[in-house]
Amino acid sequence: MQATPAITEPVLFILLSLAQQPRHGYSILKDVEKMSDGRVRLSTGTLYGALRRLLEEEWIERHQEDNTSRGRQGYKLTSHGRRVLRQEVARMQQLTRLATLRFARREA
Amino acid sequence: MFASEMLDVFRQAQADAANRSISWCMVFYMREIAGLFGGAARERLRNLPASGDCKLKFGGSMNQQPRCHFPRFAILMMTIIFVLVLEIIAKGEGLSHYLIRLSAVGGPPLAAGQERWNLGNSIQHWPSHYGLISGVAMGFLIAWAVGVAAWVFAYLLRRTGAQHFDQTQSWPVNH
Repeated sequence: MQATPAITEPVLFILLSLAQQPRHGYSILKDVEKMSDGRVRLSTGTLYGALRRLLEEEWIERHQEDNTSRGRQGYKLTSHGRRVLRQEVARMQQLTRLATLRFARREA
Repeated sequence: MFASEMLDVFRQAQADAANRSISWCMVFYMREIAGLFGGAARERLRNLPASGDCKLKFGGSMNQQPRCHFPRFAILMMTIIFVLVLEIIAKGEGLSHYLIRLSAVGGPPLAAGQERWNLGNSIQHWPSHYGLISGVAMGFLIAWAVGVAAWVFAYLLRRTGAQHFDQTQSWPVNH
């Protein structure tokens, strides 16, 4: 089994963006900006560097958009990518629960 | 692989930024430049071999060097360039002394065939065609240096694999 690369915040946002629906590059940029309330703004280079790595890891795959005359291609999550994203979200939930507990104990 | 698609996305983002304030535009371009260099650096680091694999090897030709291979010819060229730089510095110093002495004399410039200059109480001897010869030599040196610089530039371009850009493909062809 190959090692899971670290999921950085931009990568997490990209995966979350694609979890909802397949998207093309510019749509991912805008969605990440919207999801993070403008805090995370990806540059084109950062976006495509991340997309390339995600394609290599087979977390995402290319997706042909049918409804555009330009034949634009987008990206969508693979089942493996969705599983990795779920694991990451579960890990973050566990971390959040733990942090909440620790804070609660200290304040009690 | 992503060249045309990246360009397309960049143009859309650029058009979006153009509709906003100047400061927004500046931040956009700075972010894009930083992202470009950051991405290139990350890719470079990713492609670096493990430290144990990278042993500097000497020898070989200039053609398609394997990773970490240092051509012997480059060492020779570097040595020649170094010696020439030293020589040019020495010539430059000589020339500057010559000009200082000329300005101290305050007389007319050296005429063709004139061999002696009276500098205060001392007599200085200069070759009659010193200026011409050194000028020609300097011209050759400059031309040579330009040639070497062009060669180094072409060599570095080749090392980056830029000659393969025309073979890049944005998307795989579906058969």
